[in-house]
Order: sequence, then C-alpha cells, then structure tokens
Amino acid sequence: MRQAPYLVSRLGNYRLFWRTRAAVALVRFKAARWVFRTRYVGEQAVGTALAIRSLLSGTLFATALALGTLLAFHFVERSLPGLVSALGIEHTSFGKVATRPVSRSTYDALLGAVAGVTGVFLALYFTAVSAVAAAVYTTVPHDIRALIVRDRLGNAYVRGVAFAAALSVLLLAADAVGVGPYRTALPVIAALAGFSIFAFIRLGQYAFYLADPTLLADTLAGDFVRWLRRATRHGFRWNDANFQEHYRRRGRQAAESLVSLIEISSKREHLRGESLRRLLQKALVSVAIALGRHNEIPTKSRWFGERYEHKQWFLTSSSELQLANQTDSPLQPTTVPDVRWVEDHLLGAFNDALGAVIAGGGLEEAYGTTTALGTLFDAFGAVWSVDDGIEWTEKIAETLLAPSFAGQPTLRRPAIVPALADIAASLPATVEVAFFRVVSEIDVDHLGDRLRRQRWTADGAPYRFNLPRRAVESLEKVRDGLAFERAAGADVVTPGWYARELAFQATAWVHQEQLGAFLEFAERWYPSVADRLSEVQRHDAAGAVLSQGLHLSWKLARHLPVFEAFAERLAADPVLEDLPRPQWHWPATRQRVEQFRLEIIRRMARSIPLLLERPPSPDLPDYFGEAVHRTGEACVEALFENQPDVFDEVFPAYFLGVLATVDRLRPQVLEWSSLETAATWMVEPLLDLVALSGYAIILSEFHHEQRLWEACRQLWESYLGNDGGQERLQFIATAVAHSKHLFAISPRQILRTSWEMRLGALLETLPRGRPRHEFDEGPREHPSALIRRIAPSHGMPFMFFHPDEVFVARYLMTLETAAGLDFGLRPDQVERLQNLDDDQGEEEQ
Amino acid sequence: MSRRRRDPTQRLSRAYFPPPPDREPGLPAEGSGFFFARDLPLGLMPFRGSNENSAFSISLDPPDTAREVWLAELLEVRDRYSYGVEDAVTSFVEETIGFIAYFGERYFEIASVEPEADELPPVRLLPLPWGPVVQLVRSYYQLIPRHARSEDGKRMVRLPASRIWHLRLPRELGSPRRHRRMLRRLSRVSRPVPDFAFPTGGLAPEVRGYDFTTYHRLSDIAVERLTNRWGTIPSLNQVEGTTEYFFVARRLRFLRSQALIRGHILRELNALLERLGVPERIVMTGLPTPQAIDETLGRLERGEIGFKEALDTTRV
Repeated sequence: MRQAPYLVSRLGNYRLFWRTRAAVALVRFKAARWVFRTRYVGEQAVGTALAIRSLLSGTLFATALALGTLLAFHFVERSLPGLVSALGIEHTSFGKVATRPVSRSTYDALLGAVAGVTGVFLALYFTAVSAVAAAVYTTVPHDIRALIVRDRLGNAYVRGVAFAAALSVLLLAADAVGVGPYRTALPVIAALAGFSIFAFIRLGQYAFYLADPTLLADTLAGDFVRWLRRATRHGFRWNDANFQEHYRRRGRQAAESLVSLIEISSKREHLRGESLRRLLQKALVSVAIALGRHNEIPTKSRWFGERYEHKQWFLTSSSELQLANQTDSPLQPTTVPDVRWVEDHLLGAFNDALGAVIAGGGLEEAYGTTTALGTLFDAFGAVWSVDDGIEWTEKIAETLLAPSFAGQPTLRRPAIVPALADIAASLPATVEVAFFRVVSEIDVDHLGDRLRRQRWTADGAPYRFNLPRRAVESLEKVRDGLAFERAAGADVVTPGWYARELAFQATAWVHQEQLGAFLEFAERWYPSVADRLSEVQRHDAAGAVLSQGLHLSWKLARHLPVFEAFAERLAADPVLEDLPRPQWHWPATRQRVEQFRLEIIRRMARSIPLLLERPPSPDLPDYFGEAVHRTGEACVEALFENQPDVFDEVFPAYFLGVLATVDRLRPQVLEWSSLETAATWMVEPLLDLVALSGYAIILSEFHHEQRLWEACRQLWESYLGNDGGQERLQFIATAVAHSKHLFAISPRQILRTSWEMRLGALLETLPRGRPRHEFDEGPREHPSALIRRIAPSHGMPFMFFHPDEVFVARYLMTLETAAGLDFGLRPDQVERLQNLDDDQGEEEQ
Repeated sequence: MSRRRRDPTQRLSRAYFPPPPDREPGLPAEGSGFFFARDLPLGLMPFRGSNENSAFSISLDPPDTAREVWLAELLEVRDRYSYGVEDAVTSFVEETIGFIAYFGERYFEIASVEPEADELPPVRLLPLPWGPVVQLVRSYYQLIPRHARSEDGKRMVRLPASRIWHLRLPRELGSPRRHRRMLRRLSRVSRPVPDFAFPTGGLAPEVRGYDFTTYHRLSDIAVERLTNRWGTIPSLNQVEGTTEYFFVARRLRFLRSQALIRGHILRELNALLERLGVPERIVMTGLPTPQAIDETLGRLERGEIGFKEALDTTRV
C-alpha cells in the first residue's frame, strides 16, 4: 500500500491510524478483486466464444446448407404464384399447395416441434453425460468430476440449444396472445434448430471421449498454466500477496486434480497406454513450463506457499529480539517460500505412476512415457536448477531401473532394459547441456551494462534477466532498498553498479555450486549405477549407462573452458573486492572430469569380458564394440599422457576385446562376395592393436617409461608363446601384410592416421641439434635412437615409419617363430628400424 | 606539564544538578533518540593512546609552550587535568559534543583564575548546567529552576555577554531547538511496539489492521527521514530492507556530520582565542574533512572505490 511514508510513520503510534489503514486496505482490495473478477469473467467469455466458434466451425457448413435450402424455398415461394399461374396449374393440387399462405397453426406447430426437439436434445445430452459420469466418474474425486461440468464445448452447446428452445417457447407464447406470427422469426428458428441438430451429432461423438477422463487433463494443465502465468510478473496484481495466495490456491487445485487423474489412470488398466502416456506428458510439460516461469515470480511470492523455519536467538535482528524481550514471548518462526511444491506434486505423481506401470510389467509403456522427460530436464538446466535436476534424475532412474536392480527377468523384449537405462543416464547430460547453453548465451559484459542501467523501481525489474533465483533475490533487495531510500527521502541512491556486483556475486556462487554438484553427482552416480547393474548381470544396461557417462565426460571436458570463461567474466573488474566470491580451481576441476572419464573407461574395460558372450543384435546398441573401441582410445590417451597405471589396467581388456572382436566379425563377413573386402574388415581391429602396440614401444621410449611397453610386451608374449602361438603369429603376419598391400584406405585407417598425426606433432616439438652441413636441419635431440630415427624430418610434418611397422620390426620379427613369415615390410625398412645407428640412419634418410 | 588545579576567582553563573526525572521531565532519551545522542561523540576524535592514526596531531600555531599550559587550563571543563594541547583539545571536544549531542548547544562562562608569577593570565571555561539561558541586549540571563534556587531565592543570574561563550551545532546540522525536537521525535517513532498494540501481552496484536512488520518498517523510514541530514545512526547498523551501499554511504554521511562538528568546534575555539586576545591558533591535522568525505562519497557512488576503501579513507 503506497502512502506518504513520513506521515504514516509518524502516525504509526496511534490506534486510529491502523484501523483507518486496514479499512482503506480492505476497500482497495475489494476494488482490485472486482477488477480481477471482471477480467476473469471476460477471459471466461472469450474462452466460451472460442468454444462456440469451434462448434460453429464444425456445424457451419451444415447450418449454411440448411439456411440456403430455406432461402431457396423462400425465393421459390415468392415466385411460385407467378410460376404456377404462368404454367396454368393453379387449379391443380400442387398449385393450391404452392400458393397457400402459412397458417398460424402450422407456425405454432413448427415452433412447438423445435422447442420439443431441442428439449429432447438437452435431455439426451445430460443423459449421456450422466451415464458417462455414472460409469466412469463414480470413484474419482469431486474435482475431476467437476471437470465434465466445466467442459466448454458441452457448455456452449447447452447454451445454444437452450436459447433455441426458450426462443421457440417465447414466440409460441407471443402467438398465443395474438402477437405474430413473425415471418422473420422462421429462418432464425430454423437456423437454431439446424445448429442444434448438427452440433448434437458432433457432441454425441465427443461424449464418447468423456469416457476417458485423461482427456480432461488438457483443461487442468491449461488451468494450472494460466494461474501460474498470473503469478508471474505478467499477471494481474502479481505483487499483491492476496492475489498471489489466490493464484496459488487455484493453481494448486488444478495441480492436485492432475495428480488425482494420474493416480486414477495409473491404477486402472483401461486407462493405461496412450491415455496415461499423454497424461504424464502433460504433467511433465506443466512442470517444465512452471520451471521456465520460476524466475519470473517474486522469490517471496505466496504462489510458492509457505513453510516455517525457526530462528536462532543469537542470529535474530534487534527489533524482533526487542519484541520478544518486551513481551517475554518466544521468537516467531520465519515463513519461507516452499519453492518446490510444483515439482514435488506433479513429478512425485509422475514418478509414482511410472513405478506403478513398471511394477505392472509395462516397461515398454514406461519407455513411452519418458519421451517428454527431455523437455523437463532441459528446463532444470535452463533455470539454473541443476541440483533439482540431479535429485529428480536419481528418483526417476531408481524407478525406471527398479526391476533391473531387483534382477527381474525381462522375457518379452530384453532390449527395453538397456533402453530405459539409456533414458535414465541421458537425463543428466540434458541438464548439463541446458545449463551450458544458458551460461554460454550470457554476454556477461552486456548483462553488466543492463544491470547498471536498469531502473530498479520499474515493475518487475529483477525478473528480466533470466538469472538464478539467488541473483533475483539480490536484485529484489536492491529494488526494496531503493524503495526504502525513496520513502525515507534519503540523499543516497543505491547505484546500478551495486546491483551488478550483487547479481554477479550471487550468479557466481550459484554457478560454482551447480557445477560442483553436477560433477559430484556424475562422479558418484554413473559408476555406482553401472556397478549395480553389472552386479545383477544387466551388462547391456550397464553398457548404456557407461556409454552415456563417457559422452557426458566428453561434453564436460569441452564445456569447461566456457564455464571457466564465464566465471572469469563474472569476477572481472569488481568494485567491491572484499565481497566474498567463489574461488575456482580449474586445473583440479579438469582433473576431476578426466578422472570421471577414466572411471568410466575402467568400467568399460572391465565390461569387455562380461559382454563377450552376448551375440551382436540389431535390437541393441553394440555395447561390446563400443567398450572395445573406447578402451582402445583410452589406451592411446594413456600412452600419450604417460599414464602407465591406466594403460596397465585397461590394455589387457582391450587386447582381449580385439581378439574377441575378430572372432565375432569372422562369421559375419564369411559370406561376403569379395574375400578381400571381408578380410579387410575382419582384421581391422587387429591392425588397431598392432599399431597401438607400436605406440607402446615408441612412447615408452619417448617418456622414458618402460612400464608402458612392458605391460604390452607381456601380453603379446603370453599370447604368442602359448600353444597355437605359431598360427596366431602367422595370422597376424598375413593381416599386416594384407594391409600393406592394400591399395585403398581401410575402414579404420583414418582413425589410426589421427593417432599418427598426434605422434608426429609430439615428435615435432623435440628440439634439433647442430646441422652437420649447410642443408642439414639437424638431428632431433632425444636420448632414444628410435625416437630420433622415426621423428619427422626433411621439413615434412609426417613420419616415414608407422607405429605398426615399429612393432612388427622391433618385436614380432625378432621372435623365433617369426622366421620365414612375411609381414609386408620392405627389408630396408626392417633394417633401419632394427639397426638404430644414428649416423647411418640420418644419411640414409 | 603537571599542574595544580586552581579554582576560578569568581563565578557568576549558578551550577546545579538537573532535577530528578519525576519532578521535571527532561529530554526523552529512548530508542533511536538515545542511540543518536550516545553515538554522536563516539569516534569523533581519535581514541587516545591508539597509534592507528599516526597522521593525527593538534598543535598551536605558532608553537608556544607557555600558551599550551594556558590552553590546557582554559579547556579543563571538568575536574580533570589534561596534558598538552592535543590531550586538552581532544578531551574538550569529546566532553562538549557529548553534551551538545543531547541539547544542541552549550554555554560556558569565561572565568578568570588568579595568576602565579611569570605566568600568562589564566582563564577557565565553566560550563553552565542545562537550563534556560536568555540573551537580552548585551547580557545573558541564567534562569534558575525551582529545585536549584539557593536560600536567597534568586530566580535568575545576569551574565555579561563578555563572560559567555555560546557553543552550538553548526548551522548546516540545524538549530539547537530543531535538534532537540529531532531527538524527541526519534524517541517517539522508534518505540519497538506502540502501547496500544499488545495491551494484554498477547502474542497477536489486539488492534485490527496493526501489523508489526509494517510498523517496524515505517519506524525505520521515519528514523531515516529524521536523521537525513546527519546520516544513519551507527548503532542501528544496516537497517532492514536497505542495501549495504545505503548503509555504507549513510555511515559516511554520519562521519561527515562528525567531521563538520569537529571542524566547527575548532573554528569556534579559535574564535574564542581571538576574542581573548590570544595570537596563537589551534591546528588539527590528520582527520578527514567534510570535503574529503564528500569526495569519497562521490567516488563510491561512481563505483571507483569499494566499501572497504571508502571506510578506510574516512577512518578517524
């Protein structure tokens, strides 16, 4: 309530002032309520008009046709006497009928018939509705039943028909007292009768749909969103606590009805399937809309409802302390907004319904209902509610994966289990991407300028920046502070830079908390869920979780620079240097993401033997192949980054995976028409392994870390030294030789080339020694002769020796069992790789 | 510079204690009114013995040791010895502003003291108790309240204008009468709860429409409006519903008011010295001036400095 503050504050000690103030407030509230009601009635009228238009559009053609027919009759009737006389048939029976004037009794009978028919239609309509209500709605709460009564289409029809009946009755009454008949009334009555008849057909069809109460969800979701919108800064008297409370009550009513509907639908078999899926999606979309509007609602709005929080005696402001002291009363608890009631209500109901469906064995049905989850989790990230997104991910994932965790068999479609795991594991990535998007879209400097220039006393000013709730809270404080300054007539006006500082500080804290919470969640959740699924032999589902986890780690690694830049911009050029701001440790954060990736890779590597037994199926993603491929990439990464422990841990699984992959590919390519193509595809994984082993030799020399090669060598020794080693080596020699003689780029050659380019770039960084002659570029300086030999030279950016050749020449060909085997390498290549005499090597090159 | 305390040769004004509160209500001193009067002298002068502000000094210009002794005796407004000009002036300012914070002004009688050999003719300032003093033509009349009248029953004492030094608030901060009115209003508007609100001590207010939060907010607004030209009362800290910027800027405003008073008292002291025919002047350095604080406020408003720097540069 705006008053002259000084005068008011001076009068605050008088009883009369408070009574007058209360009276004025009541009058103002009543006036506002009247305005609101008027507007509300207007909105309802618009809604009804739209429904009538909808009915008319469906019946327009038929009604127009009826009217056209009527007009045709009218014109024919006018020209009929002339026509009849011209034809000379006025004395025939047809001529007599055609020229006879409308009798009063016929007119009355027509009106009576219309009134009767429309009355019957009304009765039929209500009978149909009652029948549906009796059959379907007897066990539903009253608020759901009331939805039928509120059905706009039915209401519009009832009004139209009732009007026709009433008009007919009135015309009859008028005729009875000698007024009329009105010739002009006939077409109107006829049109109304036409409308009633044709609309009844449409409504009759619609009445069947009423048997499915889930269709009423549209009305409920629409109601909820409308009440929500009113509570935002765009609504009527959105800043008035009384109206906020009213909006909350009505919004909550709609939400609770929706929840009731969900509960009913999830329990009734006939409402499952498409109906339930549509209903749940409505609920999810409603929550997503609510989240999107969240930061447009005042943080202390009554829309959120209230819950109590108790104060501490030694952290309470002096005024309240004085009051408590003066009256020897306890401290009054603070009421804080219950900001999550919408999520708790609707998502809670969604999750319960999902659980009921899954418990009933409807996994496919559950999968169908999850398609709208993306929209919801995107909203979580977009409104800086990553922590809420995390919380709901855990809850929903527990529900989706409950049968899997319990080890229940899936007899019908086994593919549905990994599909559900995939959906659950993709939710965090959706949140993260949305969070990344909102952060990356903020131009911090521009935002700072806007915050500086903003007129904070303007209506809804704190809610215009799509900032996190805590920042909005800070901006509200600035707004309130300015209002206080104005009221106090102070010579101090809080400047715009202060608003910027507070908003940036709050945003920075939220940014750190959200990112930290997300990282902590990812580190914990993905490995633990994958482990739990593996424990119950759900290796495919675990593979789905790991696959999503790895993809998330990739996203995080690429998004971190943007998050870092954002944090730096927020902290740049502070005026209030002593304002507590979050401290970032980006190298540690990057390390965490890398560790997260490694944790996923380790589990993928461990899953290779477990997935080995499962034959490839087009119904399922190739989790085995992915695990082998990713583990191979992780081996390369470990070699380049000199991580012998990681390499030692994952390489054996990769080794095993490659051999198993070759065995899995063999029967699949057996029937290919081109033997060469079949052989090329089949040995590709083996060539990856050979090349990777070459990298182990090279990079162990480069990093002076023999453990890298040792881990690799031991496996090869074991593989080739056992029974059948001779045949295995023969197969490898054939595969390598085949690749060397191939005049085409093999399928995975580009991938291996990218490894080589990376190695070339690494070796290029080595310094060069003194040139030995005028055109010499000088030898690479490295203690290892092998490195000096293979490093790019002669100004070329690539290497003249490939890592697979290094492995073949320096290891495989040195084995006793390799005697006489052709690996496809030229003798001079072998010689130069085996004999690492520097001078000779350089000269020859 | 230790000296023996000497009584003035002749005192014209009457010294007396204030009346008991039940017989004659004095100035209301509760709530924000009390906080204001209590806070105003605090931090006006540097804390003696502290080395925090090494730039601070008070000296005579030109320096004169004998005059310093004389000045210390002049400013002994209470029964306490001061040592050196810095100590004397600091004590005088603190004690005087403690009184002026309540009443807005103070009267001193300039009394002579019997000189000793080879000494400048000593003079002492004798403060008049709070009570009505009326100026008429070239004389002041001290009206004696009933409880303080002596056996002779005199209702007033005539004091020649030449023997009175009248020290009041700087004009920029209002007249003494206006100041006292402000204190009364501050006390009135800052009552935690109006008497009618909880007559039976219940938890819920018993007057329809009364709302504690609104009352409290209106009370805060009223206090800020009343102290607008002074700055926020330091004891109130950050008023609820205001920004930290407002708190700091208004704190600076209060420091500015203190600087204004400090400078004003110094100017009045120097004017007194001139009136007494003393050629030296008191010079005070190392304390923030109103102009410096204005400049700091301007820089703060433009966002060139933060709160810490702003408060540091204006620290006494």
